[in-house]
Amino acid sequence: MPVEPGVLGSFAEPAAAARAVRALRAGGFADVRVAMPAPFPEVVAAIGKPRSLIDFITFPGAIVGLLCGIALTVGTSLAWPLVTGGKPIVSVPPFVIVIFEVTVLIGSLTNLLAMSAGTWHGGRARFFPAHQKFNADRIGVFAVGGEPARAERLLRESGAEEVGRVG
Amino acid sequence: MSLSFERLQATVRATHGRPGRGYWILLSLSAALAAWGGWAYSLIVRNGLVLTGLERPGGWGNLITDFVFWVGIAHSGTLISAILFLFRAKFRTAVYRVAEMMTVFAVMTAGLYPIFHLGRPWFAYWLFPYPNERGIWVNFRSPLIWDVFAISTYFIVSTVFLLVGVAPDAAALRDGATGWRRKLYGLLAFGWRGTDEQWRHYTRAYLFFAAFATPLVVSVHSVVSWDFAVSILPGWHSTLFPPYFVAGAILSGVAMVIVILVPLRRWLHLEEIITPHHLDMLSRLVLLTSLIVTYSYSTEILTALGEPASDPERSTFLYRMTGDYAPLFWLMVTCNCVGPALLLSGKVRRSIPAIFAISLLVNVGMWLERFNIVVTSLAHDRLPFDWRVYTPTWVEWAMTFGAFGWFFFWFLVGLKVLPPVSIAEMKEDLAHAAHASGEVAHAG
Amino acid sequence: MTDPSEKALGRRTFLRIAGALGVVAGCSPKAATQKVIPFLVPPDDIVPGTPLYYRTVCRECPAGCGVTARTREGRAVKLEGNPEDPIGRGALCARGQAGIQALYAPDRFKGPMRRGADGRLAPVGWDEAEDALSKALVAAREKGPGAIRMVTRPEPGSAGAFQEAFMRAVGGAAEDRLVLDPFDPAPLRAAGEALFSRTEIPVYDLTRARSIVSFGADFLETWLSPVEYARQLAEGRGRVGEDRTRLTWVSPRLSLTGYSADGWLRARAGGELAVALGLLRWLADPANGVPGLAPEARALFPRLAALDPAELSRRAGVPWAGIERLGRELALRRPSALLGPGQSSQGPDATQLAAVIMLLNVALGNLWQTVYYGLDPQEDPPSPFAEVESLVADMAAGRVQVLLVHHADPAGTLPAALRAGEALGKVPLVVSFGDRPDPTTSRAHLVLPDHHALEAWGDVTPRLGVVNLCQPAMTPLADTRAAGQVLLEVGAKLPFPAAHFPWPDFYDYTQTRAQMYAMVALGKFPDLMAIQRDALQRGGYWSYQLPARKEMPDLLRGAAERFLSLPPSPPPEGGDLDLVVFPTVLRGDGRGADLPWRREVPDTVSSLSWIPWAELSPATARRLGVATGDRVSVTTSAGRAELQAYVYPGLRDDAVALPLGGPEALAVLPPVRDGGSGAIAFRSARAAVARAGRGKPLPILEGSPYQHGREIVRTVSAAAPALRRPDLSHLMYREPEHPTHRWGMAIDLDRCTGCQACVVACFAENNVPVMGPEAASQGRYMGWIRMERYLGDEPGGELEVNLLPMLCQQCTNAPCEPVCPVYATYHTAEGLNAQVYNRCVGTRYCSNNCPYKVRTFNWRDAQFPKPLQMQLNPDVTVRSKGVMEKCTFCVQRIRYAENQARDEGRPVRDGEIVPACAQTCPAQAIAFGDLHDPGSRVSRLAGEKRGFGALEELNTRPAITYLARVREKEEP
Repeated sequence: MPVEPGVLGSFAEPAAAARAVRALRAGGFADVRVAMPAPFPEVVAAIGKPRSLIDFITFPGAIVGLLCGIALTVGTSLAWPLVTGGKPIVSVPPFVIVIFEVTVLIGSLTNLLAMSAGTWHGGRARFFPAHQKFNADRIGVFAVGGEPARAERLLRESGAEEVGRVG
Repeated sequence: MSLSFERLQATVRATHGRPGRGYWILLSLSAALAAWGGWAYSLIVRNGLVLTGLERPGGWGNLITDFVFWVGIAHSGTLISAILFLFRAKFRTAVYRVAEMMTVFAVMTAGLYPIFHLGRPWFAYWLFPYPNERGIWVNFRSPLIWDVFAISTYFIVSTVFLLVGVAPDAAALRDGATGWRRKLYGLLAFGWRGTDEQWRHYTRAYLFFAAFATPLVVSVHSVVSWDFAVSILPGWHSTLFPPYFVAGAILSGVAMVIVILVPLRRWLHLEEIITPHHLDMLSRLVLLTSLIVTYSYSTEILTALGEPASDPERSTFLYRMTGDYAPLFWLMVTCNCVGPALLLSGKVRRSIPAIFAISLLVNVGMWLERFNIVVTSLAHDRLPFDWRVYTPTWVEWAMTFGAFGWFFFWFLVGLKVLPPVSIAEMKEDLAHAAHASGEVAHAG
Repeated sequence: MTDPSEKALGRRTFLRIAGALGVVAGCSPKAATQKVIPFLVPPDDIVPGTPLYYRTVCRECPAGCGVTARTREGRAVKLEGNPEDPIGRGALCARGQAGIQALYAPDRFKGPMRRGADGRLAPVGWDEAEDALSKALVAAREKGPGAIRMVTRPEPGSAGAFQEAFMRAVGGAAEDRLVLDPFDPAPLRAAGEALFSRTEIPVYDLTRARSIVSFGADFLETWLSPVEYARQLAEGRGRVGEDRTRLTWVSPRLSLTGYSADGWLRARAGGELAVALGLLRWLADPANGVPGLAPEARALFPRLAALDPAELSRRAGVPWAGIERLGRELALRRPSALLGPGQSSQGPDATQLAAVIMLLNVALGNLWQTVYYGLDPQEDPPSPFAEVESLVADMAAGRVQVLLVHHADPAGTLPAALRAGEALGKVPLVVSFGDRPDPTTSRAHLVLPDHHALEAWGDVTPRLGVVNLCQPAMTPLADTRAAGQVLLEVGAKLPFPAAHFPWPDFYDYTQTRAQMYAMVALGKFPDLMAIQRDALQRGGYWSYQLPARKEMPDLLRGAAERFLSLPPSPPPEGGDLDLVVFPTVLRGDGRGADLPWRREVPDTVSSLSWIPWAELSPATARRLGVATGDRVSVTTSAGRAELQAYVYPGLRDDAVALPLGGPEALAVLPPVRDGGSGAIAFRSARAAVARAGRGKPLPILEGSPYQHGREIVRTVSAAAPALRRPDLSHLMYREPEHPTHRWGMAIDLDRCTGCQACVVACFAENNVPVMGPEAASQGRYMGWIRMERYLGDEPGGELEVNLLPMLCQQCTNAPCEPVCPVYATYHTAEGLNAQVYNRCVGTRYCSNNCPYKVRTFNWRDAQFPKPLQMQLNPDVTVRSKGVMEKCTFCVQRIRYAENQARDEGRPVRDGEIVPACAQTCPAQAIAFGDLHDPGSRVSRLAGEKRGFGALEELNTRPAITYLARVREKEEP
């Protein structure tokens, strides 16, 4: 992964980090990246990225699960029709239970896959300097490109503990 | 607001310190208990279920009781982590990780019993639908198949839920850790870096997990209750069972959480994180569910007593209250209805020993409840000529207690490996608390 | 010289056994470890997989029912009645069904044995054994008369005749050969002698009797010819109203026979005589104006008038009104039959009781209507008991040198007070022809094991005009020899010319006898051999018919009078309770009572298996502080027995009851004899009962014997002949289709006597395992049918016994099916509730959900100790541990019949398929067939107004229809 040049500021307070992000974006920095130990809402709001698109993978996943459930229950019952307890071969109420479980299972597994893909894309695939520091107690704000001097100033103004250039 | 990020992280990491003697004693005790149960089971595999006290009509006994009991225990975890998450109940943050671990290990325990109690356990895989040359599948009309699906789904989903929750914390711990821990947390962190992009997907996905898990919690114990409700046995055949069982499950589950948390916060020095407030909240949950359970008991009994004298249903319930198993029934009532009722008073709820004792009794009571349902109904069937009293043998008791060994073994291991509280979410809360009180979160 | 049966079968039979072993290997659990020897040259009359039937005789009791032995690949696997035999008419009792287990009993003697110096039996060669015997006989004969004695079971046929010849040849007198039958109905013979000078056992035809009164005669269990009489009673049952046969039971204890009764006269032990005299007095009393009473009976009234009704009812222990009621019934309902005494009522005055009962029959004109003289073959009748006693005395005094014992067990079946066992010890040489160890054989010095009846030639004449032939159904399993054969060979070795018999072997002897029978039965015929072959195929020579009226004897002048006064009541000594000992179907007289099926199957009355018990009434039990299961000691002047108690409301408060057929009852019987016949007085003692501590868990089947208001077993009456049944017309789902057949069953509870024959037959047919007493006490009994016996509605309530033979109901909406996760049980296209053993994983959910609890679970692997495994039915798998099993309506028989029908290109005929239980039912209470075929017997029965389904309100739609028992509180 290529090192991208930019300025990194580290913050102790979510509020400050949020201020910085807003300032940077206002200052024309298109690509502002943040690393933080917890999803502080104000910061997330400041970044102002749209909601994740995971919905569009997970929901279809659940539908697939539903179909699998139907196929399994109905299909296998018809494959070798055996009468038990005078009940119909395709007895809907009991099958619904199994179908529901399969739906949830496959739904949540696709959700897992989707999330893994998303976090991989948002993690390894995207350069962030010295990210280890920001899992514990500090919030890192990384302004990519642009004029480093301006970025440094904006970061300091919004209360960064330390500011450093990358690349 | 005295707790800071560092303190928090330090406290949590401290729980992973070199285990003391007490830990090893507990661990080996659990292992021994589990081994004892395992040996007892090996006897059954070799000689058949002749070693149990089961007979006709009593085809099910301790083992099924244990199964239902442990499935019940498994409920609190996902309830607390998922449902309370959706309800944005703040107090959950501190306790849900322990609850989730409990869930996973409890399902691991519960899942054993359906296999244990089979006449031919070596064919247990026939209960799973897989293509085979015989061309015969499974009978989806059978509640036992619903069990197979419900339990395995529940196990997978709650495990995933647990691990997903752990990932950010693992990342946080990884950086300070060394040796195998570093490797392990690296693995559990799933390449977590905490960038905004990751959080964006993560928070959304987490919401979905909660959304999936919530109906699952309700469904699993409903399905378990259908094992009985779907049959035509007086004392089993009741439409009340699903809500009744779910409430009972949550009751026992939350009680178990309390039973585990109270000593845990002492040993792991989590008093600051898991505060009396949390326990108070949990005991309110116990109180609520206990009231629901009490209501269910009375509904069942009153409807049965409304029947004419010749009615088998009526006779079964009278048998429960006055027959061979009556002492167990009344002990159950004391543990599940009378005990928790004390929690109505705030004084009791604030006294940790009291909460602990009550919860402990609730667990005993809930085991007895399942025993009452499973055994007394079978012992008092429709044809009086077949009535017969079932008494468990030492083999069954060994397997019952062995389960506790098995459960606590994994739990103790889990404690030393996984962070017992969710660091990330705690930080989030702390930040807000700090924000509200205008303090600087990390100062201190 | 080899055994004729072997000669007759030869090489082929070796191959049969070889094949049999192969098949056994095939159906035994450890098939892989067994060797299968293939046929080298396939024998022409054996087609592997198809049964071969042999007709022979049941030797379990003197009744002598004909038997059809089903053999597969050369080994007998199942006994069934011979439908052509006039006695059993195709039915067998529980003991008859169990007879085959004696053939394969693991403890059977494998060959001749001799007791060595160390006191243990060691194998010897036949020649050596026979030499020893012949030498001993020669030596004994020197000692003078009476030194050589023989004890045998009744052998009315070749065996008996040849034994007589042999004893004569060795210089014995007639009485040196003792015929021993512990249950000998001698009082009947004595009474016949006294009243008509006919020393005979009368024969009864209950089909014509409108009312039957039994004075403690368990004619549905062991008395005379139970299978025959059960059938005859049943013919008068199964209908509502006037022409339904009424049965009244007179006894202190409500026995299994009493369960079929409409009224129970709770006479106190020994009170039967007073009841009988009371009846006679009431009937003969001109004041009551009984129509059509025999004049000779009227003539007795002056003497009878001397009897004071109050005294009679006091001695009887029943209110005079009860006796009057019965008298009125008998006066109205003619003809009737009065039976007795049986073992439980056979006391010191048994002959008088028998005589008075016979007088009642005479008075009511039942002679020739329902009671017949002139049918007793007089062949080998049991010796008077006095001779038994004198033999024991001679043995004790050392006057007996050689004692030959032939299938009799003096040490194990006679009251201990007689000390027969000790006496045996004084005999220098006891020779037993027994095939299994028993108390007598264990004292024998020389054991020359006889063939089992299924391996031997012979013939039995149970009745005039009935000769049932006995032929080998298979090669002898062990190195055994027919007892007759041995005597013949020993005779040849003896220095007495008389003992050198003309016949080359015993088979030949039976054939010469058979020729004689053929002549008698069928007159002269050109080809006697053809007749004999035909007779062997059919099972005997039958020229049986009821005698003409003129052959009925007349009452001897002045014979009756001496029986008309009450004997002085015995002094109440020995205890405060009357001792009642009673026989049961399964225990019999004790011989063979240790066979697995006979111990595993619970007694219907107590639902206990494996152990003897002592019955006490609830009131008495309360007084003594005894509960069911407690150990109690029963002490009489003769001795003491300790057993577990069973509290039973069907017993008088002043009595304690013990089952016969084991050492316990015999231990407490005092040496009292019947005055008239000298027979054992089973009913004479008073007993003291005391609690002796808590007992082990009882091997008991019943939970609660009360219906608790649930109306499980329904009853009807003339007043209310139809049953109210729930409306099940509203269907939630479409009923599953049964395109070809819908197999169903109808069980008539008005005919069922609870005799357990069906249960044992099911064990035999379906390889149902025997699990032992522990399993029984843990509720792990494996029987596919069980006799549920309800005593009434609530404890302490009115006693109303109802039987419910409970087996898989083959429900259309079977609750067991949908709960099975792996489709191990499902509903077949022919309406069966199939159980796929090798698919079952053993969740036991099906059993939990079965409201009838008819599924049995294999808690451990079943044991079939060799060679019992040879009896296993090759058409039925042996289930392994962890598998659920149940009744399948004998699906193997259904398939067999269906295949045959298909081969012959015809539909299955009604009645062609007969499950084992239905086949053997003496009362023909069970009907099986196709419910689709409106003409089938089962459909007709299922449509009857008495029909109901067990727990039918559950809408399981059982394929079994029960026909309600008819209950008339008073006679209609």
